[in-house]
Amino acid sequence: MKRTILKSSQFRKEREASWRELDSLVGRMEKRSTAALEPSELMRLPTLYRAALSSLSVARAISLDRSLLAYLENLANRAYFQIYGPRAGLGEVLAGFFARSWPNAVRATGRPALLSIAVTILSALAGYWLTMADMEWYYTLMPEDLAAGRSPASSTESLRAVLYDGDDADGGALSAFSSFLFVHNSRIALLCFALGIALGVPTLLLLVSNGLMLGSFFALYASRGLGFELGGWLIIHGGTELLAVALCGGAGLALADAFLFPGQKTRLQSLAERGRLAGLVALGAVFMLAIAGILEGIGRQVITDDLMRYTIGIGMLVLWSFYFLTGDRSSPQDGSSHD
Amino acid sequence: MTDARLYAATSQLTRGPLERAESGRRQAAILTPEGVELRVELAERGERAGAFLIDALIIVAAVIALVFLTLYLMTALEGYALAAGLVVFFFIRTFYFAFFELLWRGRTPGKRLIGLRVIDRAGGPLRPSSIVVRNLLREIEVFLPLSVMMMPETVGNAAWIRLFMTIWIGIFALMPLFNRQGLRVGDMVAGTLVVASPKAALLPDLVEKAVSPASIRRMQPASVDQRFTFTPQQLEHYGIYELQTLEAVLRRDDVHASQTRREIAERIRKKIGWTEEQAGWDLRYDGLVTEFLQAFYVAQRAHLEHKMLFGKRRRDKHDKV
Repeated sequence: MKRTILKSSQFRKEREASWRELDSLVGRMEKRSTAALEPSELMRLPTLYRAALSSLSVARAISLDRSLLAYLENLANRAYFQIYGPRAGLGEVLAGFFARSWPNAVRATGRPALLSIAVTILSALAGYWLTMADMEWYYTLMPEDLAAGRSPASSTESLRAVLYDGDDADGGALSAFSSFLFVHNSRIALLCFALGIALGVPTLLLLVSNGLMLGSFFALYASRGLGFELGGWLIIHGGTELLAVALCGGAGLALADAFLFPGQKTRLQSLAERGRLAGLVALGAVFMLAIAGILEGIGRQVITDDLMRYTIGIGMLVLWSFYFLTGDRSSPQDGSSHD
Repeated sequence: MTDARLYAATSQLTRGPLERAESGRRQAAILTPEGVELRVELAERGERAGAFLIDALIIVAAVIALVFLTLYLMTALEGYALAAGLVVFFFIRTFYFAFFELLWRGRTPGKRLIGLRVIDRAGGPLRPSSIVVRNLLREIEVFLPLSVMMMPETVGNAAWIRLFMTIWIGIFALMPLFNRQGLRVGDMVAGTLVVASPKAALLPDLVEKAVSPASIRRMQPASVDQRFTFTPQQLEHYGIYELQTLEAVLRRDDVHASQTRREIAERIRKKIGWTEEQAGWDLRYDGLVTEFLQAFYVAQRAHLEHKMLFGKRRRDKHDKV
């Protein structure tokens, strides 16, 4: 009597060696990293992976051996995880981020960013006019802890003193102050981004209250004829800082936009596509805030000349704009292809 | 990634019931760039919570160590130590998860211990930007709820503001409970999926290797199917589901295994209309029962696989193909 020969068993006998080879390579990569493999083994990896995938497709069509199917499915999974995990090292990722991904992402979320800048400016104007018309508004718009005793009741001299009093502080205290500001502002900015998922309403509220505070504070100084001096005090770091917050707000609004108006895609798809770009913008804003923190904590205390403050502040803004508008234009359509 | 691929992957996720894997985890399908559909096992919510807890403990431990280090250094460096401490704290808090997921291909220490990893929901490569985004969203999922909980009780209408905020934020923090894939907000925005990554071993082929212990086995393993011959009619009773259940029973190796096999052998014998003499076994011998079952398994699998080549896939015994 002739022995039954199953195609699926033959198939398994022919391919088993290559599965086991892939299994051992992937096993070593799981324990350590790609560094665990010899260059020749690394060359074999894609071939073995594709062979395993094709084995899986064949096995699904011809085999009913459940353990074999489960094994191949699992092996293909593990190899896929290793091959399509993030490939680049940390350094490479950072380099790619600054060289390409970030400016691309900023341009891709440009419109919501402009909207968020507009909202900030409009609410600053509103805060300014309200406070100019009636100084009582200052107490409503400006939180007490941020005002730090500066109010319409303060004398002009004490208000002026705040703008130029950095000289006597020592370096250690200054750097502690600037890192505190950096951490605080970064939290607010990241929150501004993340809250975009709540349909953007909290993001807009944060932007509006930020603008109102700014306008009201400016009105207080302008009413004493110190507007120009305050401008310098603010812009040296504030240009970078406000731009970072506005970009984060724009990223948050981009999230809300992706969720509310997905177009022809499903909401989940739309979020997944635009969310990544928005997140890159928020990440970049943390970097900008670190620079703003240094400018605020150290630069502003050391540089007390108004014109110098204006030069640095506006110069930074020009630099940022130049970087965002010209940085890597190789793929303006698809900012996500590089990152 | 093309829209079509993303669409295929997402529609698979959002429509129809999710199948369960053998482990009991829910399954999802992703489409690899090579165009092969892979089934992945979604991480259970409990597993993810466990992994998060481990990571949270590591962060807390690191922050406590940092506080002591900063206090120690402040005696010498004063403000500079405080400045550095604050910044390091911020970076640990914000980038701990993203750092490890970038370094270890989608795993943090907690995920590694539990056996989970992050993958791209549509099956493409996991991008660094996805990792960054899914972890930045923790700001509203974890840190914001924490700060609301620790908000001091204030006067007046603060109570209802607090209640409103708790509900509002609760929706985001508890998002994994509201969808079947257990996606948190970060996963939604980043287009990622957290899957379990178990390891399966390749078991011997039951067609090639006899299961019954050598001491009782009378035949050579290769000739196991020659002892019993089944007619095509006898193989028409069962489908793939029954075949694979039989496979599982043959692979079992526990104290009740032989009892189960006996019961199943008896049921099959009656179904295919054999008398005990025809079956040629003596139920007292476990080895014989196993040999019969294995021979039937081989014959049934050959039969079903043959039909499958002609496009007839009989799911189970109720399936009339």
